[in-house]
Amino acid sequence: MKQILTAIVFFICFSINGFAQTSISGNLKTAKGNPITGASITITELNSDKILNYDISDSDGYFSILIYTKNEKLKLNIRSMGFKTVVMTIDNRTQNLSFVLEEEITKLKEVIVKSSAITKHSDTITYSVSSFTKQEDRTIADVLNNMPGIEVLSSGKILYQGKPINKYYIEGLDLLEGKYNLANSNLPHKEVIKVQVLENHQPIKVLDSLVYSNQAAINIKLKNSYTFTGQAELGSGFSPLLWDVNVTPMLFSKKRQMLSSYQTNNTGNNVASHLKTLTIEDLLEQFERNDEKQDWLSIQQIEVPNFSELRWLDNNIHLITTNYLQKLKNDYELRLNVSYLNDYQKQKGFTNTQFFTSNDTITLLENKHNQFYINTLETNLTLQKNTDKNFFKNSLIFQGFWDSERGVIQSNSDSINQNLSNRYFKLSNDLKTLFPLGKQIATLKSYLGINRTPQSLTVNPGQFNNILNNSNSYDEVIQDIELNTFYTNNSLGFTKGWQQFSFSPKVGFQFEKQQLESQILTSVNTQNSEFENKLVWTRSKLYFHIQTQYKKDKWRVEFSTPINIYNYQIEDKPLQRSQDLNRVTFEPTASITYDLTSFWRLSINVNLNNQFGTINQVYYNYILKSYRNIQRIDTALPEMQNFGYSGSIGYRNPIKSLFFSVIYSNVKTYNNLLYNYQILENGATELQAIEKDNERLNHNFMTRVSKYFSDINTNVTLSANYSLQDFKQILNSKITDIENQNWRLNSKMDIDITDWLNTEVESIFQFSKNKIQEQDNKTITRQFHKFNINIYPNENQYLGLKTEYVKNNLFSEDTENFFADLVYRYTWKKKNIDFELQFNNIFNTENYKTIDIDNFSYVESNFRLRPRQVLFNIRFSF
Amino acid sequence: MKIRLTIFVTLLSISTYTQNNPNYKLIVKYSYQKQIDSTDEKSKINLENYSLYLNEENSLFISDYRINLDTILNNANFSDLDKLRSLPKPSSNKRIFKSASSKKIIIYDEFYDKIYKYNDSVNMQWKITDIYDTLNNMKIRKAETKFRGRNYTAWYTSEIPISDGPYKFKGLPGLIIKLYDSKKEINYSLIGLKIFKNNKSLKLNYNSEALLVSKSKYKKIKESFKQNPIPYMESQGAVFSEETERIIKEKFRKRNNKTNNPIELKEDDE
Repeated sequence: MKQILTAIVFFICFSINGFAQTSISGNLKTAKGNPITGASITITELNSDKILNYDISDSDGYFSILIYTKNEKLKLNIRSMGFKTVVMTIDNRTQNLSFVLEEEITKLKEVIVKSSAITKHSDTITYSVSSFTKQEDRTIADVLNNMPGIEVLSSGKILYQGKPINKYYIEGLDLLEGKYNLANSNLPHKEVIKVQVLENHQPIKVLDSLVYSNQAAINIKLKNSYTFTGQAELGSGFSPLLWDVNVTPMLFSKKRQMLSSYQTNNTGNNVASHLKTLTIEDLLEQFERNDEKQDWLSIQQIEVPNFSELRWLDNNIHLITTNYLQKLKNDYELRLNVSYLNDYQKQKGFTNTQFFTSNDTITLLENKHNQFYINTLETNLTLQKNTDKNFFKNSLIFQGFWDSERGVIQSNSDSINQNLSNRYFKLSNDLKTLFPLGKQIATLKSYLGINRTPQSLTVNPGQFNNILNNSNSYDEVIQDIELNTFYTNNSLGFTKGWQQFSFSPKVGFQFEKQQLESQILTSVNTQNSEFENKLVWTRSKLYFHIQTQYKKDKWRVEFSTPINIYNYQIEDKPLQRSQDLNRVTFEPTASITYDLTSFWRLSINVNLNNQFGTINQVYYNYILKSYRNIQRIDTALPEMQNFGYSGSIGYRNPIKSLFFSVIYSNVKTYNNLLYNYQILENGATELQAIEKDNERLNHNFMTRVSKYFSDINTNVTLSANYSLQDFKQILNSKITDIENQNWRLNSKMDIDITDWLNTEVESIFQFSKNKIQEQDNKTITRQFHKFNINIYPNENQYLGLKTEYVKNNLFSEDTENFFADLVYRYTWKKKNIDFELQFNNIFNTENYKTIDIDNFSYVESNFRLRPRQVLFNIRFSF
Repeated sequence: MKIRLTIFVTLLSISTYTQNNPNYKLIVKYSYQKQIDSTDEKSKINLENYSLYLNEENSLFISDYRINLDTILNNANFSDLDKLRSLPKPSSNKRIFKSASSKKIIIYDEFYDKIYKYNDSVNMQWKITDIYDTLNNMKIRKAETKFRGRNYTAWYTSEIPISDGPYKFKGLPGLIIKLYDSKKEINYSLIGLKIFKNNKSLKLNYNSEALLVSKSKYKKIKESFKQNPIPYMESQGAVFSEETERIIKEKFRKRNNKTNNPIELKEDDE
């Protein structure tokens, strides 16, 4: 009752004082006696619509209305959906009224449903550029920012209605794909007549009606038949004299578009790594193909430091890339990408290697000076058709690497020269097409590739005298190698759903043929070699996969049940060696996730899989891999069977901002081979393999906890990792037990002190320990401590200070390094020019010592770093 | 496009009300326009449509994008997984349950992958004016109220005798047809009304999943998620480099500066 009284809403047009208060209450029922809820009861003046007061009936059908008026008669109105409206005149006196409402179809008057712009799908909204342009705007990005619903972030990403766009077209052509910012932030708005927003844009047209897209695309309509523009970045500094140049001209027209780029620097910025943007799918396919450049031979390297390249890479890089797109007839598009890379890198330093054998320790000190000459050409010609009926994309790719390396080693008083030519050439064709198959869309993929690896290593003076030259010393040894490969992979797959299940079957076959030819020539024997491989390798695989998923309530189950049929044929005719292998494998994987409560989640994963060796794991005669590593692997094809399981427990409580997880995993690998490292007096190693079944065990344990303290804007994360490996190896003819243990502890704190000041503190401790034949070696400790400050005084300025302290307890000594870098950036918004000043390696730390622990050796490396440097950069458009 | 509808309403049966699987008889659609940055008038954008599902006892107000997601999620049909991924994300994850007979409101909201619920109570004091208008042959009447920091104008019609409306608004002697605040930063307009011949049952498993929290706790979670989403993402196994982390934070900071215009500006009802 009280509730209802307070719920009563007053209509205050009258002054309340002076009138008597009348209370009209009552209840509403159906003919069957059920209460009527949610009906509106209004009291108006008799001859007008003026509402004196009203109420909404409650769950008991009850209502109560207070009236302040001197009118003697009142009009009562009762309206409710599904009941006949009651209109009656009552006296203005406190009374209780009960009504039984007559059921009736409530006839609503004509309601016009208006269509609103946002309900239209696959719609095109066109903005005229001139009407959104402000005085200070220069580029199309500036104007886009003025258009309602469109937002351009500082990173260049474009949002439409708060969501990122999925395509950026210029005249309907997609030249730049994800790098559209290059065009967007450079194209002057004067060149653009219209901007079109394509809502709910599905880039693959076959899928248009099947796979809904919530993202929009933007299409830029040009005023003229062609437009030329670009971006430049110039930087210089010392010492030595530094440069950093990036010039990117662009040309756009309705049928033809081009973007080129020339980049050069000697500041340690490895721009070659920016060339590729790979998706996870690409990486997986690449792993199966096994046809990325692989160097068979090498010069002796120095372990590179495990921090940013900018601190240590001594380079001199030139990179030229061109992207060209041409529109053809019948909806075809042709795209050509060409890139050429030229780099000259230098490394200086020394390594101290200790080899632990079961009865001895051999120490090797090497002073190294390495030079790398990189010459790479890559072209990609893609033909694409994207229509309602089908999707077709075919890429023809050529890669050529004319690389060479030169290394000089001072070891004791000896000097060793290494010259390597590590070339590689590949031609491949990649086809992908989508087409309807019943109600599903099937995906057909076909890959075809040939490649050639002609490589050669020259070392003087000659090495491995006892093997290669009857124990006499000699001047020079040359290792020549050539590998020719043909590879193809074809598959067909689709996905089908049924109730709580989904099935994704896929069938396919792979075929690979490789020919390996190698020979070792010495200064004594320059004509015919007794160290020759002429190996022919054939591998085929037929596969049938079904991936099954099931989800219900708190359970989620996934099965993968692949059946693979493998055939391997390996033959070296001159050596009269050959082997065949046929295997049918079933390699299932299962994973189960269960949500215990809304905070706790458990999951388990079990899998079984097989792996077989590759051509660089079986060859019958010696190959000189590097000046102190000679190998022959005269054995059966390596076969590995992995059985692994893992379990995890997760706790996630967002209410307390507390997150915690523990993961344990265990992998047991059964190998058919044991490798034999023969370590010679001078530290040279010789690898052979013998057939003997053995196991390798891997344990991993990981835990992590993080908590966010919202009151002080601080996030704290602690984590710990532990791994243990246990396996056997033959060292100098003895079967040796090896055990490696690693610990890693990490703590991190992130504090937002104010809106414009943020700090990060991080500490990492790593401990590595290794045990050979029950004999412990010294524990190695590494520590990294970081402290960063980011300051944003206002929107167009940024100041960052990064400091890092590294401490290593090596086995002969302890080392300490301290690094500090400063960055200041200023954006001149009006002209869209960025100025940046970098002050790197303020404390001029020159050397960095690190260690690498191998199964049977410790390698301590001393790497020459880049000295203290100042660099000034300016970035603008033209 | 104009559709003329003549609608007959039959609300004869009284269904038993369960919150998990409510049956609804009537759906009212509103378009929603919002100015996301209070300092920038051109940030006024049309967001997705919102629907008000109604039966005699309660109503559910929800984004159309959200209801699509919920429907698929609860049916757990894996063939729809691709569809799920490609479905539009709602501008708000709030699901607002109002009871026809009390002031109690239950709000469900979602951050990352968790649903929270809290109870809210609204005491709306409407002032009904004598200003009339007609819209689509419906006589609509202007009413005014104050709600949590904004002054609102509502146009309702007594011809549809349902005391409900968009968002948390209700309590007028008729359905709210249009609602906007004095600065026109928030704007709901009715664009359609549909009757279900057979009651539409919405499979919504909010209750079993949702975590009940107090309103103040809910605000705190929302705030900390908005300010620093990284701990949430990392708890899902995401790994960020130092630089990416800095960029994400900078992006969120800028985004927060721009989306600074919530419907409710203050705690008090008025």
